[in-house]
Amino acid sequence: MTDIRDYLGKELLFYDGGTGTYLQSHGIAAGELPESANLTSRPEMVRMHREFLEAGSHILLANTFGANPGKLAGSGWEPEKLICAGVENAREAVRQFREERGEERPLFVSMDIGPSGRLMKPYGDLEFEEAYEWFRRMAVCGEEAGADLITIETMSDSYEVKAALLAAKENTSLPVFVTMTFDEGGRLLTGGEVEGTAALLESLGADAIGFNCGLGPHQLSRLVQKLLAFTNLPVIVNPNAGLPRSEGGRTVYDVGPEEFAEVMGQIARAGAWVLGGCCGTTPEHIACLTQELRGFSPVQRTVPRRTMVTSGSRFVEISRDPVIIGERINPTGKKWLKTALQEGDTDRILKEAVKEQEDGAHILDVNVGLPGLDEAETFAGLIPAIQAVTDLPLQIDTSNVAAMERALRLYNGKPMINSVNGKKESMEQVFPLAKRYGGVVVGLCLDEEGIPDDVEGRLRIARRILDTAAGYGIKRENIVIDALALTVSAQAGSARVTLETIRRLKEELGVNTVLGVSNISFGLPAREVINASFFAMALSAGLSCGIINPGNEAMRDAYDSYRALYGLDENCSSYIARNSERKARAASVQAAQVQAAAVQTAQAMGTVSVRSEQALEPAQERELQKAIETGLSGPARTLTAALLQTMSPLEIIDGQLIPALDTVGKYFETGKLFLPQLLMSADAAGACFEVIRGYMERSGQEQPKKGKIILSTVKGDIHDIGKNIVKALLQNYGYEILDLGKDVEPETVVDAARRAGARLVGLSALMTTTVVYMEETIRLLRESLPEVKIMVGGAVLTQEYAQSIGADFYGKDAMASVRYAEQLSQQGLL
Amino acid sequence: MDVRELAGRVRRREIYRYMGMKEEDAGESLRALVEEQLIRLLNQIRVRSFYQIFPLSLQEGERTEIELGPLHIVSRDLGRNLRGCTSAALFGATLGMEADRLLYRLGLTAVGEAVVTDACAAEVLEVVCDEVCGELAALAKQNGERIRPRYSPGFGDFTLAYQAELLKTLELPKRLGVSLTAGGMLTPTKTVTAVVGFLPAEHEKGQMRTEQP
Repeated sequence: MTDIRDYLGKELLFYDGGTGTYLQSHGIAAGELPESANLTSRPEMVRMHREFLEAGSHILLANTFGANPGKLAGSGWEPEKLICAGVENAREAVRQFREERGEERPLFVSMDIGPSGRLMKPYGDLEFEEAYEWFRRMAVCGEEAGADLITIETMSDSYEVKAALLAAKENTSLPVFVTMTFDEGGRLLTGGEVEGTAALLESLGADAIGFNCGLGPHQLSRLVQKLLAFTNLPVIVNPNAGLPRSEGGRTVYDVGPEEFAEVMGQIARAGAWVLGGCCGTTPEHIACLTQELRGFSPVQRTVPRRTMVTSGSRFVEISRDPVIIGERINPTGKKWLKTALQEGDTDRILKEAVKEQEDGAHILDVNVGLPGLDEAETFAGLIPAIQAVTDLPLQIDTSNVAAMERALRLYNGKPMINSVNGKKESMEQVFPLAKRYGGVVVGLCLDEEGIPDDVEGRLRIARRILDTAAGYGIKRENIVIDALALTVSAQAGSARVTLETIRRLKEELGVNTVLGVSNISFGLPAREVINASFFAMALSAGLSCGIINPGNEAMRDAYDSYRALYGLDENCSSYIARNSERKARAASVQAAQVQAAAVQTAQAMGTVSVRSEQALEPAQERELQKAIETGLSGPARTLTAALLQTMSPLEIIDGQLIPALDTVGKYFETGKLFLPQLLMSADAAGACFEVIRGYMERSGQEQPKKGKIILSTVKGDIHDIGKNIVKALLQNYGYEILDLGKDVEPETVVDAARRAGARLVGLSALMTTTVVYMEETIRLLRESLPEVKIMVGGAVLTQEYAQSIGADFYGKDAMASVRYAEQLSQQGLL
Repeated sequence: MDVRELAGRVRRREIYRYMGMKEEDAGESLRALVEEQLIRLLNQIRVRSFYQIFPLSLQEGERTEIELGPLHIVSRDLGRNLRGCTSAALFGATLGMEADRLLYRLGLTAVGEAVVTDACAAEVLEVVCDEVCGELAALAKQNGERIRPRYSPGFGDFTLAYQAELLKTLELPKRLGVSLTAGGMLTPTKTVTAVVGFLPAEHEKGQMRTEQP
């Protein structure tokens, strides 16, 4: 069989034009599923393909774009039958054309895979593996039917295209071309830009990449330039015949064949190798295009290699300007994270991720290695959850290969992979995964012999890692070497070896570097002094990425100073901005400290006794209550920290927080305050609890918890704000909440309640269409766990309705659920 | 549509109404929060809309049957809204995934901010829809017509079941990134689809007071 890849770059290749446009203008399958024409109008479909061949196309897209098992469910059509017929029609056209014309130019039939038509989780409801399975069926069927390649097209979601590309690559041996649809602003519908999307597609092994649909050739030109300057892969351009316009209920396109061909000619001259058309383009457009470029040889390009890490909507380039990798999501030495992981308290980890982003991290390291914890399962839950709350790319950090694979598969984007090392076994395990799923791999300078003491030894391992990677087809720009920082107190002079290794890795091997900076200071006092100095030295030696705590002021100072000094921070603007912020923050802390000092003085003088329940008069206590009641999180946090110097956590909770919440709750119930105000107070109280929790963990105290409550938004429902409100309030009242999220299967609720031994389950539903699942969940809960109490809430529910579906309690508003839980708790039922 | 322009057009009182209160009842800190969240939302979203105009025929009898381009709709209430119209626009407008992403994060980190942002998003979406309708009204005026109030699936007996056909007709998955979940919900969640009738001048009198939801 002829492999299309052999022709890329040797001659221009032409796709066909718009199938939908052709069907419409010829009245084929009007009002029907377009793919049904493959079976019901075979001669017409063959004729369509023939017309494009006459026009000069090399690649025919079989009419299989929407033959997706998900889309076709319930339609009565079988995807396999439609795909098979679609590919056969195109092959028949090729056969006839060759026979009748004695045509010798290379001709290819491509299986066409379009989007699933559903939005992926977490914002939609389509699971990655479900999408993968649909695309797998399509790809396999296309290959069996005799397609020469697979074209994945009109994709506008990086996660969905990953599912499709993996499905095609893992289950067929066909070349895979991918074209994406961008808007005029140069973004995918899910937010990704050209460079990040290209980096992802390259890393997943696409054979050619480019654009189709959405825009006309004029609008696409700028984006094509961007792609050509970024990728070394062959570039495909299949635009619409201009932007769509509506005329008498029909969509029309205004760019005629000549104009289309002219602009496409410029695009070919800029370096695109594969050209064709999408919506609005006819056989005439393609004929003009092939005429325009007759005899034109593809432009050969070489593009400098770049190291790119991406999430679904953002990319980070690792180059001269150093990158901060947040180190906080790693349980080593962090008791709170160990507990959070063991108890499945995902929320706390997610909040940490958000905080690291706010603190200025560019990439987040995620490590869940903990004895007794199923790392693969934990990653499977956590990676998508973190990607839902932050758009930063992640660094998958594990030595467990199964866990690494699970995380890489589910990850949306091209991650960093931490890590491989110079050991044969490590490279044999990690490189195949990196090749299959894509990523930038961290290579540690150690091997079977341990960590070399000298620079030469470390460089030798780095070279071995790079060479071995190359053998797996992993390019040098996708490896970042960790020169390794050893504890300086144990090995004098080791820091010098690390710094020299970084310098030579960059100069001699031209490879990017990464370093876990804080290892250097283990066992020393005032660790951050050494850490920050070492970080600045490493940056100056050429370090590309520092794995640090972005919230640590000294480390950030070192980073900001380096960038300002090395001319990477234009006009020192980041440096200036951060320092004005710091000044403002210091002023507010100082104000709180002045207040705290006043209280202490008052205590010393015997005018105030904070241990007495009646003594609720000191300024600071009133301030805290006031801050919570008016919903000011910042001051509430500062005041709590100050109060902890003189009061026990329990005294603050019982004496201050709960009374403040009760007051606000009562005002809400009597209509003096409204929902947003109640919740601002809840957020402020939450901020205080965070401070108190941190304090208790540091001092080894256990926080008392009331009962466990399961919360979930029912199956089919993706509106979860009501559930989140109830959760925030219940947490403030000391309940342990297991939040199952939205669109939750009834069985999952039952399982979770059983496992956690929860006595109360709260269910929310916003839409009438999903209340049926609420009823089903209740029925299942009653069957399996009759002792569990069930409360329900949501816009469409009423007291009567709640009763009729068998709930124990209907929460008419957010506070009602708190009151119910408190009532159960007092009765000892929770 | 320039998102920044929208900021000035957003009606604050509507935001408070979505939160179940009146603007007068808000204190200083809530007012500040509303402004802050509104600006953040507007900075993050990418507003998109699309409409297409179709010929319309309406048969009112035992059941009201509406032929709207390729759509066949049975709905008495939509029929009443479109009475006298000879064409109608179908449109979709969305604040995109960015709004959902922001709301998702706030639901986890600061539920007060989430509720305020949710209300801001609802009002911004209304303003976007008004914008689309303004464009349609201008078009109508050129032809001596005027537009009827927009009517969405889910209003009256115009059931949500029509959502799928409407999305398909406008190719909204491709054009706006709007799709339906298996349970028939619109994603991104801050999305509106609607029908807007064009009423010829001769029908003006006696038609404009028909009941609306």
